[in-house]
Amino acid sequence: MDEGRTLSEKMSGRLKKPGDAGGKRVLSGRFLKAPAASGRIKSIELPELPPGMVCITGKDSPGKTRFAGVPVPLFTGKIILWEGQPILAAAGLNTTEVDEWISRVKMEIAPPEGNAEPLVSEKLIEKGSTVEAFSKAFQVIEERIEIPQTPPSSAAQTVVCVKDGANYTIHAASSWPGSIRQNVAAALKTDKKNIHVRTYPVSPGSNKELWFPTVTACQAALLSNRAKKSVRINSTAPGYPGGDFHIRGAIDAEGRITALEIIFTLFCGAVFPLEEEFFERVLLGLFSIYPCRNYSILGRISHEASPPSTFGPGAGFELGFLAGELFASRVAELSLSPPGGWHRESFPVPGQAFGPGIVLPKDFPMKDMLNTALNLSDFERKSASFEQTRLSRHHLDSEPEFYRGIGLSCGWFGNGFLSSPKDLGSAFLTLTLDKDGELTIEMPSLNHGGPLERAWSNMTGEILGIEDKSINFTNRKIKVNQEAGPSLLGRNVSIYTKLLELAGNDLLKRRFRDPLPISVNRSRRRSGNRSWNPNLLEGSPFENISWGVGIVEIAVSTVTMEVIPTQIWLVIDGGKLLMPDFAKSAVEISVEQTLRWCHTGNEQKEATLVDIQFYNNGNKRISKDVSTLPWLMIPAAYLQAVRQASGVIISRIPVTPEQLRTGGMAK
Amino acid sequence: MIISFFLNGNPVEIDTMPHHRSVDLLRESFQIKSIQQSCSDALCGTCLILMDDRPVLSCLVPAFELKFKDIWTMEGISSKKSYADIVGGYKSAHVQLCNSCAPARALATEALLRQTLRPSAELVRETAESVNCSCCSTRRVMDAILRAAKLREKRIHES
Ligand code: FES
Ligand code: FES
Repeated sequence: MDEGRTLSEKMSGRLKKPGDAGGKRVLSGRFLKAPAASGRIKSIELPELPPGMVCITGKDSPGKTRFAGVPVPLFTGKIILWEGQPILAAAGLNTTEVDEWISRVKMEIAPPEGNAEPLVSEKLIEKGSTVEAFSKAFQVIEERIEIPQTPPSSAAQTVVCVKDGANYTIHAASSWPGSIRQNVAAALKTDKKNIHVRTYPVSPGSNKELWFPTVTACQAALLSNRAKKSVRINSTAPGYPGGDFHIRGAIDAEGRITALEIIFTLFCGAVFPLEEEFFERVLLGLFSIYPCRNYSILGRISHEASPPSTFGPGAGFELGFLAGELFASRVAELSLSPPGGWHRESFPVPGQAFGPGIVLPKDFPMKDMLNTALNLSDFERKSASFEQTRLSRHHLDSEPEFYRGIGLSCGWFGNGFLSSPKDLGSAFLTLTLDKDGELTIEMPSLNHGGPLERAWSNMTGEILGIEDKSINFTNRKIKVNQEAGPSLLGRNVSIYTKLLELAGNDLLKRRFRDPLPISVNRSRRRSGNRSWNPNLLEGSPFENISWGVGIVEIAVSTVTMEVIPTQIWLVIDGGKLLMPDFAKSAVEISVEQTLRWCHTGNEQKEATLVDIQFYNNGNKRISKDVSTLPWLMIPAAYLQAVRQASGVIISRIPVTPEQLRTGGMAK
Repeated sequence: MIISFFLNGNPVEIDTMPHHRSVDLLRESFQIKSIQQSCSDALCGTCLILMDDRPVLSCLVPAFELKFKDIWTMEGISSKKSYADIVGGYKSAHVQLCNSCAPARALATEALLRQTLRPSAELVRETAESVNCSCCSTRRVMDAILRAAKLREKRIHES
């Protein structure tokens, strides 16, 4: 598909969005949402419905949606779980009339009985002997970091359920059409064959459209079923969990981490589907890259009366790595070795596992990447001189305008899912070459002319010698749609690229042997991950791993105490890059988003210089996600740099001038 | 209440409730698909329209305020030749826009270009930030706006 044409259609509003589906007669659905975060609904009185309007409440749909076995309620039952939880939905032809009807609903809400304590579950993970390691430790080092929850997004996502007799077609931006199909069929108590899903591109570089479009789809379908008409409804994407981490580490005389004691709590809101996957990713992130055979980790998941959570950009890695790498940098600092040198010496060596016991790939590239990043940024020299300035600050005659700092962080990202439920792992696609030489690629999630789709189109076109304009994408086929797992966490880049390559080569072989049309199916069923032991945290948990090193240099104004990130160096191994230009822009976007996550209160006016180097390790075959890595590398490096410049041990993001002021940043 | 106004250069008339939100009215009665009501609360910017050449959030505009106004949406703007400047600017800056805010970004850019072809950095930033999206790089959007302004200037000189 031509890039300029797609962009032109997108910007003119002609490229179809879910909200455009269904034509003029689609009813507009609206929610009545819980006005308080907790309480019990004592009574609810509905005004008479005007002709043509319908309404559904928790009573009409006692069902719950399920995501890999985790239930999520469609509407509030008696007990309110969070502020803004849908209590009922109504639909009619005129939005203003629906709003007006909803405003006349009378409700009596009793305060919650007893103290609404958050529901906390915990898990203890232990290996080796921490007691012994701590008793023999040369140093014990501690670190603490608090990361608040990210609030729900302000923009709504539209879902339309188009009804045609017994058939329902859901139009939604979702990365998991299979779950929509399954859950809508269950909510309507109908056969899956009556439910069709048409997906639209999800927001670039995000994992948030994992589960909530399914909930909205079920709500729209129930309204549509009741009204016997098509219905459109808006919902907002949930926010991301936050966390609080305390790490204690035993360090030997060489500065190596011999044991870890970690206590952490994840704040996940009232519901958080797939929280186990998230929890495990947090865990792995905490170890970062450094091998550690003795550990005791107490992890808690806390469910408070706040809006639900969804996956953030690293689905948990971003929290784990921030804590883990911040701790590592503290160890480097207190072991008095040059920080870059400490990292290099602490990397696993061939044959050794990394983190809690993850198999080290043969082509582990981090040493080379680290050297590149250190040289590009002149890290060791700058770090020593900034440190010197900080230590000798009180001897200065006058205060400079800025203090500077530089920080370093390493990271890796696991592409694909970690946990075992089989509906998360499977992937399907079909290639069909028809009589006119047109090729149709059927896969579950579409990205209408998006960069990844263009890259796939180029790749398949090259294999088969077909021009780009004769290649089309669709997601109509039931099987492709129905059973595939969610397309996120780098799964699209790594798994679907591989499947497409295999299918393309199959088709090439059959092309001159068999009559047209020819269809080739390729699938990947991954029920559980046999090479990963989740209890011992040992084995190979992911499809493949992307690696990265990040260095952040900042300046802190001595007047306003604002933090200005001045330059960032990133060295990234993303395997074979499908589209280098877009890979770069995807990384840049993540850098901006990550910086927004790290500091607020000071809208950055000056652009940060970002130097992105893609590391080529000669592995030509595998493509891996690159856009998540900034989330894993920048925050820890940023905080180290702020600590170095300000002399204040900041333990909470986002960093604000107020924190620096109250922390005593002064000469 | 009968309201008449100009929509994308054409005179139109509609019988509606005066407090009906313009965003709903335009979508439901005039099939204007380039605007969306995402937040209904002046937060997202996806409902942006041009009202007498000024960008306004149509979720905040009650229908009666449309009376006698000159309203433009991307449906109209994109039918003009000069639309190519905006697409060209964004394409050459490699901005990856999502489907829902792309029209609002184009409209905000058009509004700026109608105002000035040599915008200050501050104005460019304001335009880039008038659509609240967290998934594309503000820097690239600013670059795209400047590129679009250059293309528009060139077009005007050549004609
Ligand atoms: S709908 Fe969000 S600003 Fe108008
Ligand atoms: S481009 Fe639409 S949310 Fe970013």
